[in-house]
Amino acid sequence: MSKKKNSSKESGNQSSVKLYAGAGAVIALIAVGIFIFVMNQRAETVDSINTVKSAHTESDIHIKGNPNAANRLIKYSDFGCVFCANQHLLLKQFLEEHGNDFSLEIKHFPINNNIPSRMAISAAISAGRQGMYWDMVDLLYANANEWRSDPYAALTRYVEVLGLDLDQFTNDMNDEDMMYEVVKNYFAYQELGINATPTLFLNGERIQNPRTYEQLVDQLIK
Amino acid sequence: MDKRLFRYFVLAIVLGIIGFADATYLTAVHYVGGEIACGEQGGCDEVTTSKYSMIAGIPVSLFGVFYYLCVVLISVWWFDQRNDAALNLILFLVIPAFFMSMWFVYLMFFVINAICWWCLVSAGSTTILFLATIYMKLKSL
Repeated sequence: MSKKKNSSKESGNQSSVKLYAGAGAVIALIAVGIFIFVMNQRAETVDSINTVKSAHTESDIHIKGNPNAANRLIKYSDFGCVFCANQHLLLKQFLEEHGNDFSLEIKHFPINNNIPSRMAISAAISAGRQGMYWDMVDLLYANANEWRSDPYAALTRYVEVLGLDLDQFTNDMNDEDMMYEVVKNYFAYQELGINATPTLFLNGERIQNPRTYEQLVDQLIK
Repeated sequence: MDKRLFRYFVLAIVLGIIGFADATYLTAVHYVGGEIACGEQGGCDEVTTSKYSMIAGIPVSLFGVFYYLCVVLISVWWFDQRNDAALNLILFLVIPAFFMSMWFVYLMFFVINAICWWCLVSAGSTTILFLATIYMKLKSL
């Protein structure tokens, strides 16, 4: 009698184990499935941000050095950041000597989405539409204190210095699509993990910020 | 009575799984990032990023995940043990959950002024479960 009771208890235990295991499996499957779905969705969003970006601003992308060079440098930078300006001088000197083997592209990362830096970025792109992108970049890096305190006066002066057409420049500065691109790219770069400037990449691999010119040459030409 | 309780706990499991999936989705979006799928007139982002969406640094949807998980587990436990204390346990959970849901629906419509369909689905399942639980409790008295 007691034996029978025990065996029925055991089979009862077995079926409840099955019940709990089944419920646990269903719940775990739902949770994991949803997480994978959300992660895929997010990856697609980031992808679409990048595709739209490159499709839209292709003509506003400027490459220094040899555009077909095997070694591609990408620098995430804010024109108002002192370290970015110092690094720009090092990179400029480097490209003067090794411009055949290297290319440089600046990706604009206005820290905290700050307005003067965004205006400076627009100014560089607008100058680029008149063929003076890198000249404006040099001026912006060299005079950050000036345009950060009074962007309008400073940028107008640079337009005069470079001999740009002020009307066209103003028009381009007011290009809402461009401003939107700058902000959107800023957020897209954050999604890619950029969080400080300058951040330097060689062929997609992040490299340490060099302190001296010798260090830069050492890092880039191994 | 048993038949009615059986139906009740089937309903509780179904609602619990719906709510669990719903809350898990919102929690996943909160921690992974990305956009919430929301209809034309939906304002899911506004609701789920509003200041009411977190309690003590924890997203409300995460509380929802554990609450629905408990509902499902209690129901499964009833199917195993047929212990009617399960009804009291669910009642104990569903009463605060129902009032929380009503509070969030009020915030959505009158304070944030944006509709989050995912949150409404959750409020709906909790309301149905609340009514069913109260009904069962009254019948058993």
